[in-house]
Amino acid sequence: MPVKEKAKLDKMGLPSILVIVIGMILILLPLYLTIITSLKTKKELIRNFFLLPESLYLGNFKEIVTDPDYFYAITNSLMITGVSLLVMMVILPMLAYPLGRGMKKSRLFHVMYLIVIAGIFVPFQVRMLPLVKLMNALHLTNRLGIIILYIATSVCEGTFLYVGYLGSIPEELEDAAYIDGASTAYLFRRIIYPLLKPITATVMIKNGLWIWNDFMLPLIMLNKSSKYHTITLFQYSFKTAYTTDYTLAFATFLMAMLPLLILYVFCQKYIMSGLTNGAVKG
Amino acid sequence: MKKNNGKSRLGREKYITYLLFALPGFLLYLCFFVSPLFLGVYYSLLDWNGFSKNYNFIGLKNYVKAFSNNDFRRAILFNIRYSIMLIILVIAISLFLSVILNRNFRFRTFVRSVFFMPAVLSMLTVGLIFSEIYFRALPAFGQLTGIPALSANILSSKTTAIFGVLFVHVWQGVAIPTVLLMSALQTVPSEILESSLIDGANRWQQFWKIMMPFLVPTLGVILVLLLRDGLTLFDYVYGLTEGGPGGATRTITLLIYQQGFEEWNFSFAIAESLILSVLLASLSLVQITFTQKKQIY
Repeated sequence: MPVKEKAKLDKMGLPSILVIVIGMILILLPLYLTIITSLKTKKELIRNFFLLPESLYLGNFKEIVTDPDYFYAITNSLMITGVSLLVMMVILPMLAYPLGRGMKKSRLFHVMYLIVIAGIFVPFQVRMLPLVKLMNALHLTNRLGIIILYIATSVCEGTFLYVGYLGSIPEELEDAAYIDGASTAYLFRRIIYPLLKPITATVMIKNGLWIWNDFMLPLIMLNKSSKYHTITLFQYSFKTAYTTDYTLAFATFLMAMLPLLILYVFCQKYIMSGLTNGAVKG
Repeated sequence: MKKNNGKSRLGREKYITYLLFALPGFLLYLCFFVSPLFLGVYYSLLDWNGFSKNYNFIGLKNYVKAFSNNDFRRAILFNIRYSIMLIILVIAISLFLSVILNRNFRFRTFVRSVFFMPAVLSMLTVGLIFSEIYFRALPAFGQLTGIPALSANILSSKTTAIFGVLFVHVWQGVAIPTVLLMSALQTVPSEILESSLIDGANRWQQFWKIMMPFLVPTLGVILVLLLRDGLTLFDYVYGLTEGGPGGATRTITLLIYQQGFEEWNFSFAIAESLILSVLLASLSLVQITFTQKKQIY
């Protein structure tokens, strides 16, 4: 068996191996520094910057976990990301299905489709300032408001991806169900929605990572009180508040990255294809 | 399907269900995506500071003013310079990496997942980590090895700050283009590659003459994505330099943010953002054309 496996492997020259090794060092080094620095005391950091810590010091993590602001930030991020994704899972396919199937036969759905797709051309920057005025006027500069904005923003790309995927599902399937007397709603729920699973996964991964990692929208919408902060805002305000506390700062970075890294280890195949599928983003 | 009340060729039950299905998403989109756009166009025609009750309609004056505004011009120039360097670096590195990572070697899956890992992290976290590294680790490393160039913070000099930001962007930005190029490489038929080897082509010729034509559509998509990332840069500079030193790394988006929310030049900042968005919209249009071409061939 080893012989067979070796025969399939390409011969790698020294330059290629060097590129791979140097690349991996460059990628892992910041991560390594983050981990070891967060496990040191401030005193030890002055003496020893690059080597492994002399002993595992967990005081930095203790301080963060007991910080009520961290608790707010992590619950807010989980809540905002979770609720947004749950609503998107229902609303986006429900919008894309009639647009994708109806636009050839009905003018209304065709126009709706064009209006939605045109949003891909509108960058966030141009909506940023008016959005704050609008949300202020509606008393929605809060968590509910930001969830609404995330869902509304996901409509363009989501519809684009769902309609594209719907094109690969044969319509004969639906015709057969109609002949059997099924209603459109039943048909959607029982036949179409399950078939959309792969693209639902893509859309959820893309939007989930975007919302969890987003900084700009929380910055303009939720920066009034630390009770509303998300995990990115928490890191930023932490950095500005404790500029000299490096070990603590690195511990917050690690605590913010940890959920993502764990998720990546377990579902990297899905995340990789989710992030590179349909490379169009508004 | 029978014609129904002349409205459409969809059946009545189908038409009503479709409409009810589409309504929630579509209304949300109209109220919170489309309406701010029109609101913005209206605001850009005023001389409003964002909170005062008094403002006047001044037509297109903000747009005229934007083009002669030094800060805006400087920010545009910064973004263009930055984007060009970003495009060259990311495309060169990801092309190189994709060809290497596409080969079949031991631990390939593990190596690939390490190279893709930066793509899942938040740009702000990455920016903050590197800002600490530039501030603490690099000078410490410079002292340790005796290299004087490293002992100063790269971000504190007007001439080198842009490279500090660029390095972070490349560190994180290479991941997705590499994976996109790797899947494009999979479409190169292996028979052509094998027969070219028999004909005596070397690796260099193989790459340019045989693989390149298969990569061009993907490279087009990557180019536009990078150009857009470069022109809308915000998170990294906010985490690394906050536009400093002395405005040397102030990007268009950061300028719009600061003028709109900190200097209370609300209407003017919106006019600037609309100019930026016209630029970005035309880029997206180019990208869509590229993507569709890719689907046809």
